[in-house]
Amino acid sequence: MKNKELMERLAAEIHDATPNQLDDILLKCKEQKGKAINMNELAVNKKPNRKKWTIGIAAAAAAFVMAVGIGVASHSYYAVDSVIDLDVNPSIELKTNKNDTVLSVEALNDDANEILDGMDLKGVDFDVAVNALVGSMLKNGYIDELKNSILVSVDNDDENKSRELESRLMESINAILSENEITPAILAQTVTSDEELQKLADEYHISIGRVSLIQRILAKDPTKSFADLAKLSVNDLYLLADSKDIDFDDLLKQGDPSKEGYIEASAAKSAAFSHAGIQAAQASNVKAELDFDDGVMVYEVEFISNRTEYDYDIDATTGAVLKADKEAMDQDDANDQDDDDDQDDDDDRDDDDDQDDDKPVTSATSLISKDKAKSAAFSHAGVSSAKNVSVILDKEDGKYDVEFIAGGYEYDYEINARTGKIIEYDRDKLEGEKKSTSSKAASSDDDDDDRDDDDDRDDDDDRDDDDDQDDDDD
Amino acid sequence: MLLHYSYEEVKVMIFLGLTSTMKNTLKPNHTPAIDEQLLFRIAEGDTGALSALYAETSSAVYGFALSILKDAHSAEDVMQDTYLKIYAAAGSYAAKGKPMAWILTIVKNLSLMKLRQNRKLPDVPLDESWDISDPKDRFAESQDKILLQAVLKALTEEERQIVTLYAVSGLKHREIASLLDLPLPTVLSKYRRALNKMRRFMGDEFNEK
Repeated sequence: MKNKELMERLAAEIHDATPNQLDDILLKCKEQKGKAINMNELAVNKKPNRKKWTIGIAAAAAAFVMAVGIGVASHSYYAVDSVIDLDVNPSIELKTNKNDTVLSVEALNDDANEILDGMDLKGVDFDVAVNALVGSMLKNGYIDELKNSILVSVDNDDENKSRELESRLMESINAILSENEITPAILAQTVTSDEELQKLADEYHISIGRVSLIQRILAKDPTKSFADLAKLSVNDLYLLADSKDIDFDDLLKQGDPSKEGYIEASAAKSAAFSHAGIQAAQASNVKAELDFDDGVMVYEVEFISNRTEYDYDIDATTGAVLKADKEAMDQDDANDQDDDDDQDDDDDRDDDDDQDDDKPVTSATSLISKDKAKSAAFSHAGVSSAKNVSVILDKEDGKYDVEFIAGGYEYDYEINARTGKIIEYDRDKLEGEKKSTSSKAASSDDDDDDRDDDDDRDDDDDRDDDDDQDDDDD
Repeated sequence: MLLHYSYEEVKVMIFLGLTSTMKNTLKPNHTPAIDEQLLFRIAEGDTGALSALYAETSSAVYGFALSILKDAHSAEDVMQDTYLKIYAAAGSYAAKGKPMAWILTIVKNLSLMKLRQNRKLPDVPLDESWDISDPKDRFAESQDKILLQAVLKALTEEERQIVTLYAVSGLKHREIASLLDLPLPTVLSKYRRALNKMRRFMGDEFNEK
């Protein structure tokens, strides 16, 4: 008997020996399904976007049970109640059940792997786990006087429970850090996961909580890109948000982010003055704002002196001058009583240039394509696909109006038609997705949309997977 | 059958078989091609899809469980638990084009769990619990389960699992190795040795009669 025949015969024998249990299994599945539906209904009533995710997590929890090797899962124990993100620079995601017992801990980036370092926190109380994690962050130098900011994000269907967990987290983090003589800056927020957030989080290896923080900053300063901000630690993001006057009034806050890693604003100003060759007293309208440019934290220093506008980027760590610009002011702005006629003449020449810039664009020769304008807006928004995309050239103003809908938001961009730079940016949450106003009717609509989006992605995956299989067969 | 071949001859045959037709040998006709879509549909609660999946995979699931547990009743339990798990956890299946490997990982985990439970039962010694000469046992009933008997009686634990997976799972060598946490060369050599043993066992059985 050849090997092949041997194996075929064995397969046939096993096939014959296999009992038929299908009816039994289907019956038990029906019982299981009854339980699962109850759980989902709870989620749907509260937050439409959460529904799909909840199912996924319930399933993941079931898989987790399997892996750990504990007997038949009782739904109540393994059902995920809260998802908690801790972000410093390490991004860690904890899932807990109703009793606040940790069901799983996931390192979302490399730093977080270092923090977890083989720690097994499954089954421990959530306060204990947070203590261990924050302790490890201290030990590994991710939290110190220079970097004292921690972002806590809680996703729970019950908003009161979220708030309660946030307060508890803040308290326990504060206690550990105070013991170590560090005054922490803690931001605690309630987040609601949706597909767009999850996609960005997966792509940039950060938590949903950090994605949501970055989006707040982007809403205020559209010139930044998501990818750049995703590289910043929570402390830098918090500093950035502060300098842009983004108030986190709806969040729980405690302490201020440490600026000790960076030079003082006054030092940045002096660096700029000395580069410009002027005394501090000669400058007016001096502004120094912490910013993030080309991958470094900088102070953006602006001032006016001798009817010239100065604009500097000073490295916030070293005090080095990274960028220096000066521009004479428009005639209108100039002080008529000024005696520096010579300088005025020089200024005039510059002004002409400016006027050229402002002229309406009439020829198409130097314009970027619609696609480029679209992709500039997409990449800024951090989305790869969108619905209802419209790109319209505004010849008068030399800009493209780009509008689209993605991830439950309506985006509106104005893109400079020649440079591709973003002039203006606006983002509105779609009506039906608003947490506070979600009605049942609206929520079911949203769900449909979500599911469609999902299907598309699944199809793509399948194609790739098929290819893999073919390769294997060879 | 091959009873009139000498042991040495059989050895040579096996060697030739493995070297010249390994590919065919290792991919028996029973290779179930499972459609991943079934799992996606199951994730949505589609019991029809579960039935279809059951039809495609039940002998692989049962066979693998049996090869670990060596006990028909325990294997049946694990089989049932496996499909319940699949039904509950299909949503967590990551589309990687390897549904069978995923399913068999579940079987493995549940079987090992069962094994631990069985060991904890003091009045049922493991040796007796899988004794297939037990008259109640369905395999002892007839001669035509001779290969299965050979697998269960003559092979070591790992050989048993490897041979069974080759026969019923349709997994590739690499996948079997990774499912069992064994190096690929080990899987190949154990497979060869297992076939050898099975042939010898069958020879002995027939000689006895």
